[in-house]
Amino acid sequence: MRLSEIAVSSFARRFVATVVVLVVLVAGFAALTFLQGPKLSSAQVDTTAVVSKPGQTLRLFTNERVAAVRKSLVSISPAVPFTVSSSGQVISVQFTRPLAYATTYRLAVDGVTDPDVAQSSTLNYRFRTASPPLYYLHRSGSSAPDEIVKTGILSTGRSAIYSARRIQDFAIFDKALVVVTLDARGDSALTVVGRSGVAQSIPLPGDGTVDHVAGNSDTGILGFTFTSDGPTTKQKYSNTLFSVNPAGTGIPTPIKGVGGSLLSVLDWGFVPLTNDIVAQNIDQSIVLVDTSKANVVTPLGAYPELGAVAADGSSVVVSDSLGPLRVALPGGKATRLAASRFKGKVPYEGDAPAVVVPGGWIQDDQTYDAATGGFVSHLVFDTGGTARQLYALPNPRGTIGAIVASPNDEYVAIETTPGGATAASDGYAVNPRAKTVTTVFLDIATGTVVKSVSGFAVSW
Amino acid sequence: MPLLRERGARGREDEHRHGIRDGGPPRRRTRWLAFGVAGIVLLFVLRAVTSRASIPLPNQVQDFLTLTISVIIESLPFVILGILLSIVVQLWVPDDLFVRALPKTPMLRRLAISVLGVLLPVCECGNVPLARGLIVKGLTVAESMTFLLAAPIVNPITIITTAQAFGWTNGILIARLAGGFLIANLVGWLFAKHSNQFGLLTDRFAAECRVPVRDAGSRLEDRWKKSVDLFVHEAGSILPALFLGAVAAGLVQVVVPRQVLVTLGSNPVWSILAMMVLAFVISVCSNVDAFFILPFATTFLPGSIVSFLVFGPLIDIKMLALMRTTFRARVLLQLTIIVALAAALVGLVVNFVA
Repeated sequence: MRLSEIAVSSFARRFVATVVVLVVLVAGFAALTFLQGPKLSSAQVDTTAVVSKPGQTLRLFTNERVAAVRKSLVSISPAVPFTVSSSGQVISVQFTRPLAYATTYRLAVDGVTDPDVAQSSTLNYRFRTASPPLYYLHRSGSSAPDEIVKTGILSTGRSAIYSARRIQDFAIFDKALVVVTLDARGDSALTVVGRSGVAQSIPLPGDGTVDHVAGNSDTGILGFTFTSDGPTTKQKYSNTLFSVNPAGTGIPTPIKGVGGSLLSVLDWGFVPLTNDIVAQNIDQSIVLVDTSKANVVTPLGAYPELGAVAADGSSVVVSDSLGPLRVALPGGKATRLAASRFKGKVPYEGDAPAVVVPGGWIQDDQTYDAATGGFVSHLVFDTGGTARQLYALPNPRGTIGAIVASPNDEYVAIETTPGGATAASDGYAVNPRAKTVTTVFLDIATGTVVKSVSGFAVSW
Repeated sequence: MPLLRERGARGREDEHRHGIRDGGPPRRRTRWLAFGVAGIVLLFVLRAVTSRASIPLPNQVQDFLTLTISVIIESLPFVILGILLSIVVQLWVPDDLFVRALPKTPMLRRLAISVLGVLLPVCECGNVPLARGLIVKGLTVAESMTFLLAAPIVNPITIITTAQAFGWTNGILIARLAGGFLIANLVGWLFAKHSNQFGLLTDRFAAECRVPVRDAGSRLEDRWKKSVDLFVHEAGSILPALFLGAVAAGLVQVVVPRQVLVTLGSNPVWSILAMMVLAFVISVCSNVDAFFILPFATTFLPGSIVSFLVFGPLIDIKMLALMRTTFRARVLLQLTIIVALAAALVGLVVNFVA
């Protein structure tokens, strides 16, 4: 054999051996890859939105297409209501209700298969939800500036994000803060404060007072009522409902009612997740106004009191002399929230507001106290069959004011006035409060007091 | 070794006599250069005229022109840079520099050569003329192959663009660098066993290499004249190949719908094959291929992305056309088999682990 032939055959042997080894390795890893079934490539969930809004979705991205996933194959701990769908390489788990704050959720999807390969696998994923900040108004009670304070439900820290003399109310948006202040005459001023701290005034329809301020963080729209004051105004307004986009034109425009008429209201509120508002006219009639469809107005009946709209926008609480009712939206069907016996007594509900949460409602039950000859407030969670005490005021003479549930219905903030009717007022012309006003935060499931702050007007 | 060299040299003398080592560039080479330049210019003119005059072309023709020209635009600067570096290596660098600077042990020598690309930031198109220059300068064909395969990936521009596109996600950057390095050394180790190194080359290029290393001349004037001649010579080899390779890449992309490849992307095994076919067809340069493939990263698995980034710079339509100026068809087939299997293996390992 010639030298060149030896050389060539030596190369050929090495070449063939290399190819064989590579083919075996490729085949081996291909088989292993097929046999391990679909794997989780990545996952996507907004850990802040998932505690604030219903219907948020966790998307699990797999490394290959997956066959349809049945709900029975999905487990979530702690258990929450959900639905499942899958398409291509994505498994979507939609949470029916907002999740709990600062909680680790573990999710397992069993029996995940490629549509063409029977080999199944289990996908595991866990995520921790956020604990978004909350805001409240702290009035100094002296000549010092009032503050809008940022804090957390589970944290002890606090920071003033804005301070000014005589803050009447505020509304929080994603990128801005809207503040209502009162001047010495008792007239209101609206100011938008950006993230950078730059403040800009929103022109009002004239001199007068602003009240019932609310912001819709989904649409970025601010709503308020305006009442003219003094001779300088071109047109007189009386509790007229206005809306303004602080990030847009910044010019308030009236919200129109039936026939394009101005809405003069006693109270009102945004319906979360929609463009609707619920308003109580001065004649106590309550209407649902779709602000996006040429002001379509739906009457909901007439009631003396308008309460809070549920976090999922499905209902609003009203009350009459017999107690609170739940009015379904947008249909308007009213269901009475009949108070259960509390400590063996039938409580007096009166026109106290109630807040509907999953499984029941929260309200201020007042029972007669023979020892003092007066009524004592108890905050209770009523399922419609039984009433469980959530909170009892330390001072029996104290009163319970606004009750606001967190967007995920996990906590409730209650405004309390320890001294009750005898407490000294801060003297503000609009939206006055007792100087001792305190907001207590409770865990709805256990009734545990998790936080207490000096202030009110909690914005979750 | 001399025995094997002689065998390959038989019957090539005529060509040597007309080569640049004997004087100016041969007329045939100049014709090829004119063909390559004319073809490239024709594509650009066609594109400009049809778009300015708003001449309606069928969509497929428009796609063909766009895709072909994009391959040329990406490649041409690096091809020119590669030719210039090749001239520097052949005429301006001392003859024994590489021999002296590189380790003597073959394995260590190839390892050192495979990181040479860090100092020579050209993509695969430019590496072909440079690799040719290194063979002329005395490196074995196997060593030159190692450089040719490693340099497009182990290269500062490629590393930066890949890092920009993917960061540390799924280990794509690391897998690409490691994969390119290992495959280049595997190929070098394999072809080093082929004792007839010049037998791996085309007859024409082998004959050029057998001529005693050119004397660049001591006078600066002579050296510049030879540089110009060598530029025409190398450009005459490479530019026609680039033109034909780009045309072929453009045609195949028009004929084979990209969607066909994308639909295979969700399978951990087929996606690797799909991505390698895509890399072969589109012939995009290694310096920009990471950004090209980035939009696919959400559809395709990380392993298939790695296979694309490893296989594409080494073997694609354009590269085969360019490498055919230097290597025999049989060698290119062997090279393609090894690189394809190794790139697929790297991708499968990434998919299994990631």
